[in-house]
Amino acid sequence: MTAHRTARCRAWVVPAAVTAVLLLSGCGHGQQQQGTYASGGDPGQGPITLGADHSPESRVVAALYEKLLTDAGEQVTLARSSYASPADTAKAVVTGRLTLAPAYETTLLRALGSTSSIPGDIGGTLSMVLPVGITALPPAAAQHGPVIAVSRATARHHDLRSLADLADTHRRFTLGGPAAGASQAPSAGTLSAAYGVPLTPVGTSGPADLQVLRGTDPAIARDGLVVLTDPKGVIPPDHVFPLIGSDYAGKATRTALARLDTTLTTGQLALLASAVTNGQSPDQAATAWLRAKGMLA
Amino acid sequence: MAFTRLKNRSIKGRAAGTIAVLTLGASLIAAPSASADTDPGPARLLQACNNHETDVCEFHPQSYTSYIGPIHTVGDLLYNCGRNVNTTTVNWTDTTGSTNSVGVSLGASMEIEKIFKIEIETTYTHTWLTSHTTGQTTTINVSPGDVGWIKRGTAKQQATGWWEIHFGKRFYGHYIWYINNYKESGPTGKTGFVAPDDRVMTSAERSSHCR
Repeated sequence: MTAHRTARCRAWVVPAAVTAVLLLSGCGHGQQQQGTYASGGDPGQGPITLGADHSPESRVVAALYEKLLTDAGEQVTLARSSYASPADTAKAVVTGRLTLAPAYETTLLRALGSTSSIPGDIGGTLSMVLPVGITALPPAAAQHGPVIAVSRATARHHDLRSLADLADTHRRFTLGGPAAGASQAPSAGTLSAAYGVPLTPVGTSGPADLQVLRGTDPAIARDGLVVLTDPKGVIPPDHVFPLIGSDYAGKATRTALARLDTTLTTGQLALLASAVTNGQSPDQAATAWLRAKGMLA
Repeated sequence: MAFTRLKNRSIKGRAAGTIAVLTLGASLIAAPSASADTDPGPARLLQACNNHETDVCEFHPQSYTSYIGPIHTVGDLLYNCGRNVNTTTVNWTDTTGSTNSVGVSLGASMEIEKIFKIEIETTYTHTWLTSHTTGQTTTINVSPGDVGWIKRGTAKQQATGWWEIHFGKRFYGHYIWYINNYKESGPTGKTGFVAPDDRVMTSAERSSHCR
C-alpha cells in the first residue's frame, strides 16, 4: 500500500515519564470524544521514517527493517541521525518524530516509566502503557538484555546448563561482568533468592565465575561461553520488536517485518552487531545476512 | 507479543464452524458507499472485523478491573404471614451476561469476541466469559409479617482498550479505523456476594399474600 497524504486528526497524551505533551497532528476525521468512538486514519503521511540508536544492534536491526520493507514495496526513509539510547528512540516513535524503530521490551517499559508488569506477558504490559496509535508488533527471538554465562570449563565441571543447576553444586560463586551494572541486570541477592545459590558480587571489572553480559556481547561467541537458561524468569525479557505508529502498521508492513520473528535470534543479532563493530556498514551487514537467509534476492 | 491478528488469509484456512454475525438493530444495518467519508461508528467497524472485511483487526488491552455488580434479587420473594420465624431454603439460579460500550450483542462464537477473549485472557490471566449461570441453595429466616429474599452482587470484570482496524481498500473514506475507549464487562464465574434480607410487608403485600 503506498502512502497517502490524507491528513488525520489524533490527540495523544504522552505518558508523563516521557514528556507530558499533548500532540495534535493534522486534521481530518474523528474528533476526540468521551465514551467509545471511532476515528479514522490513513497510511502515514509519506514514507515510513525509520530510526535507531547509536548501538550496532539497533542500527543493523533498523537496516534489516529497511531492506525488508523496501523489498515489500513500502517507502522508507532513514532518520538523519541516530538517537543516544533505545529509550530516546522509543520516545521518538511515541511522540511522532519517528514512525518506526527497533525497541526492546523491558527497556521500553522503563523508558515509559512503567513500574508494573504482567508476569509472563510482556506484550500485554506494553499494550497497557503504550498510547493509542502506537503499536508494538510481534518480537523477534533476539534479546538485547543481560544474560548469565560461564566458561565452557565451568559448565562442564559443574554440569551447568541452567541457573537452576547452580544450587546442586553446593558452592558459592562470584557474580560480575561488563553488564553487571546494567539496569536490568539481576543482583546477587535476587539470583540467590530465586535459585538458592550463594553469590558474591564482584562488580563490572575483574574475573567472575558467573559473568553478566549483554546477550549480543561478541565475547560469548569469541570465548566459547555457555549462557545459562533462566527458567524462573528472574531476568526480564528484552526481545527486539518493531515499535511503530499504527497508521503505518498495515498488512504489508506487518508481514514484511514478521519475517524476522524466528530467524533473528540473539546469536544472529550478535553476529550482525559484531560485523558492524568491525567496520561493515549496517546496510552491508543486513543485506548480506538477508541474502544468506534467502530473505532477499 | 500476545497480540492476536485477524487476517483474512488465516481465516480461510480455519476449519471453524459457522461464524455468528454481529447482531445489530435494523437501523444500524445500512449499506452506504464504502468510499463516503463518514463515520461508520464502532458497531459497523466491529461488524467489519467479524465479517472478515478487514486486513488487520487487533485489540489492544489497556486496563482490567474486577468488581461486584449491582445488588439484585435472586429466587422468589418469601412472605411470612405466620406468627413464627419461617426458616426456608431457597434454590436459585442467576445468569449474568456481558455488555460492551458499543451496545451490541456479542456471542462467544463471534470472531471479534474470540480476539477480545484471547487478548484479555493472555494479558490478565483471567478467564473471560460472555455469560455465566450460577445456582445455589441459600437458607433464609423470615420474621413474622416480613417478606424475605436473597440478594446477590455478581462478581464481574471489566477490560478496556482500543481496536486497530486496517482495510485493504477505503472503508468510509479511510484505510484505517480506530475504536477508542472500548469497554467490555462480563461475569468472572465466581458467585460474588450472596446474602438473605427481609423487611416488613406493606399493607398491600399483606392483603395480596396473606389470607
